[in-house]
Amino acid sequence: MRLVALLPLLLGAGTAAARTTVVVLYDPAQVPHVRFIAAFEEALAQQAPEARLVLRPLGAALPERRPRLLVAVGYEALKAALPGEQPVLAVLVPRVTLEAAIARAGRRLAPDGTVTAVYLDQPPDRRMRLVRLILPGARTLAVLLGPTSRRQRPALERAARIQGLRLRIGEVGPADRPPRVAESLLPGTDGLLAVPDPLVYNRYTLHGILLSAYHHHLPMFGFSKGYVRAGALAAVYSEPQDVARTAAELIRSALRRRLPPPAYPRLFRVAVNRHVARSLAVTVPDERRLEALLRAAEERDR
Amino acid sequence: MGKHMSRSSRVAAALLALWAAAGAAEEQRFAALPTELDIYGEVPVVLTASRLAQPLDDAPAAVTVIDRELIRLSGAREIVDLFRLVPGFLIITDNAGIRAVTLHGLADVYSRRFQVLVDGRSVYLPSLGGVAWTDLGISLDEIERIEIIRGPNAAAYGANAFLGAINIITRHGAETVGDLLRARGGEDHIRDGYLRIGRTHGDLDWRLVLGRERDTGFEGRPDTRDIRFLSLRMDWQASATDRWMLKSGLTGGFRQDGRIGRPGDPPRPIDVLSHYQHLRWSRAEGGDELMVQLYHQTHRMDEEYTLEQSIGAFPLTIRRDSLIVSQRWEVEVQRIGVLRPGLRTVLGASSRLDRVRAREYLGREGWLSNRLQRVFATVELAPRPRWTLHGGLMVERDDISGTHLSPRLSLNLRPHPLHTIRLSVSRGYRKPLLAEEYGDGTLRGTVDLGGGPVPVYIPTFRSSGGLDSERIISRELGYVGRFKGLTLDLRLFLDRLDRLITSFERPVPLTFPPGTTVEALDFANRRSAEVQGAELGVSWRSPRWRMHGSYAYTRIEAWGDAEAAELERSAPQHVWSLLVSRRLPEGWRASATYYFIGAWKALGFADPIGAVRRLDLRLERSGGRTHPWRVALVAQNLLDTYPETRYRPGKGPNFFDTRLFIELVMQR
Repeated sequence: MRLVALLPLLLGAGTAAARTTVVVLYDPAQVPHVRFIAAFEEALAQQAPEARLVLRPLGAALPERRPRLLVAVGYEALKAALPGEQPVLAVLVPRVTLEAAIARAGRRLAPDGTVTAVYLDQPPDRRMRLVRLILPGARTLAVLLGPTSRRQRPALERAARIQGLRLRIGEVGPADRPPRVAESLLPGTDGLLAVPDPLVYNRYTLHGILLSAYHHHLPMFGFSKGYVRAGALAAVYSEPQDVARTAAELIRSALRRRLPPPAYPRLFRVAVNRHVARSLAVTVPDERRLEALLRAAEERDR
Repeated sequence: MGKHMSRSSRVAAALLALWAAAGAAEEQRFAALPTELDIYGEVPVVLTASRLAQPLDDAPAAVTVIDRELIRLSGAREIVDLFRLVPGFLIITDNAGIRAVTLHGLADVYSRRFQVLVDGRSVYLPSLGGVAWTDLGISLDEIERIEIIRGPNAAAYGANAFLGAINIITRHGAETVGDLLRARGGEDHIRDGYLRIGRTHGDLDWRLVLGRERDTGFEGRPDTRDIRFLSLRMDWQASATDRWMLKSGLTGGFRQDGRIGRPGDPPRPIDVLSHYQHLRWSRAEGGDELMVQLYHQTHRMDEEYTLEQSIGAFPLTIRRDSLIVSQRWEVEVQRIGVLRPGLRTVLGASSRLDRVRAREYLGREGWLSNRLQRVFATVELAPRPRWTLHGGLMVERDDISGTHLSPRLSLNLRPHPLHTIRLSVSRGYRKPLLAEEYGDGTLRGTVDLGGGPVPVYIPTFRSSGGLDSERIISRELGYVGRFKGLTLDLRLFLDRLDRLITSFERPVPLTFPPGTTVEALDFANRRSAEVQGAELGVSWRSPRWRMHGSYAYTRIEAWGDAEAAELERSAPQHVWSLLVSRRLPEGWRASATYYFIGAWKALGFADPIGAVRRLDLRLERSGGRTHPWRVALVAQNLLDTYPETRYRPGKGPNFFDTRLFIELVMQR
């Protein structure tokens, strides 16, 4: 039995000397995971043809032989992959979550450690730049931070400062009602920037927060396409297939040189809710144009 | 006592348990980290097509929006007072409890040419017409915004959206989670209390409201009122796309009417009782929305009193028992669809039943009913960013006046993204009220000719019937401009109104004394009018400032009968208002509102009113992040005492002097 399992590995090693096994741990029941994998296989074939993908549904036993690299798709897979020593590439996990998870598992991030990632959330610079492109006259942005997202405060403030924005931050504790904190925070600001934190933003609180922002005639900048559908004015986000492209690039570098440090997805999209834009009387450029402007600005920064 | 205690403690324990359960759920979420589910998970659509306010420059008609902030800053205590901020709007006050709203005049105290909706439920009374504003059972705290459509919009709102439509949208349950207590007290014995309890259980949000409003009205007039209300709203997000809303309310109390020292019109309470139930299901996907709603409402007004008068030398006793019950049932289906970018449609149909019971006015004991069916469609076509074409059509059929077609066409041209010019033409109808068509009013009494009481009947109303709908054809030229936080809304209009239903007096024979007659009211489509004018709305906001101004110029020409000229004076030539507010440090906020109303005379009122100037001030201090509170001091009319419209001869003016009140709001 063991021999049979090893056979393809041995054969693979025989035909192409440098073929390396990359095991992907994912949940086949989750649509974003499946979409990630489809795009990942394709991107990897181009970026690192030497890699050989082995797909493992969550819950199935990991291969006996230690793979060269373990790709963990999503938070559950990450929790399963972290114990042990093998190099891990985490995808579809927000930055704060990854950092909390590796701290809990006692591991460290590359280049010092053996864990790297393509974050699921967007870099603060990109988000602030989008706000600036849509609201050229904005001065103050309201931000609700919870126990988890609180750690992003310095990074958000730095990114805001670069765009000439001031942040008015409302901290939400476990006993607070997020819509009410929003209600007291919003007057006098130019918009609300949503930052993922399940205590602050969940399907129960979103209603109150969005309505509160709307009643103050203020746009919300969401962090997903779903938020834009729900009523946020705009969001910059990455689809699983966008994340897959950046992940394939990281793997190429990991297999040929060393494990690179974590990165934000290089590909991203912008979504705009035209109904909300119309209602708030905000003139928002076309989505494709916003994407091009963001991309050009990031090129310049590099 | 002991039993009572144990019951209340059991309720308290149950509430506490609920509280604790909610707390535990919060705790669980607290431990969680954001995952891919937070980013890719399904989220319900919150700002659906029907919830979003249409921007002024996209709307097919002139619209004024009074939002929550403006409601607060105005210092208004009643909904009616808010309409002073809308260009061309006038308030007609019979007494503190009987008030009406109209646009550019043409109205008496039962303003019949307006549609008023609360969350899509028509609160127009099918009996006497108009809206019983004091009995709506809505506190200003629950209102999210009021959209006022200036000009006829029957194509979207149906008959009775004749001069305009008022759309009151109340706050969603998710926005009023927590407890709120408001107390208000001041001059004229203002004693208002309001308690709101809001809770959320995952996808279900609800609030329960309990309120009471009391005051003694105008100086020297018996118009004390005491109205209590209870209401419930539940919002359930059944899935990411489906939602349910259930609203129910009960209002009861009394409003005083009459006059001191006049035997024919003695001070007496009018007991009011009204209730409604409203259920709505909607499904929203992207910009599309499907909505089905069903509602019922009953409004009851009752006054019972005895008049001691005389016919010649003989004592006459009239027993009045004027119960008026108005009932409305309606079921409506509506679909908002975005067929492709630049093409938006609204399709709908509804069926309504109106019933009225009013023996003293209709001359019968039972119900009188009217059925109405309608189908409507509007299409919004924006083939280019520079122009939008709106077309609307409403087909209505009812038992009294048959079938009518109300079309509307408007073109919005946008030579520059910030400047819009609107051209529109529309036709609308106002259907006769049950009282106008079937009015058969009689006072019953007895006269003592020496040999004991003999019954007498005194006719008050005698409708000849056969009324036709009133018709309006409106043409307008509008402009909406935006300049850095400033919005300008200008409208020039020319309305032609025909077949206006007019009351007139007709001699009707009396049973006693034989051979004599009395003047009773009858109705006929007699008059026509041409109303032209200009309206201007200005609004400006910045993080610190808020400004809202309105102005209207009106000229009316009327003909049709000998007294048609009274229509010409039913609106002032100039009317304007300006609200300015500023945020100050430490949670202070100050606002001032100035109103000017030129000379005018509402229909059915005795004397014209000269120009009125009024200044209101409001000072507020608020604070508290998790337990918000605010205190506000409001001074209404700091200038000279003015008459707030006068009623029929002898009823006397309603003098409005300076009125102070203080308001305290606490939340947790």
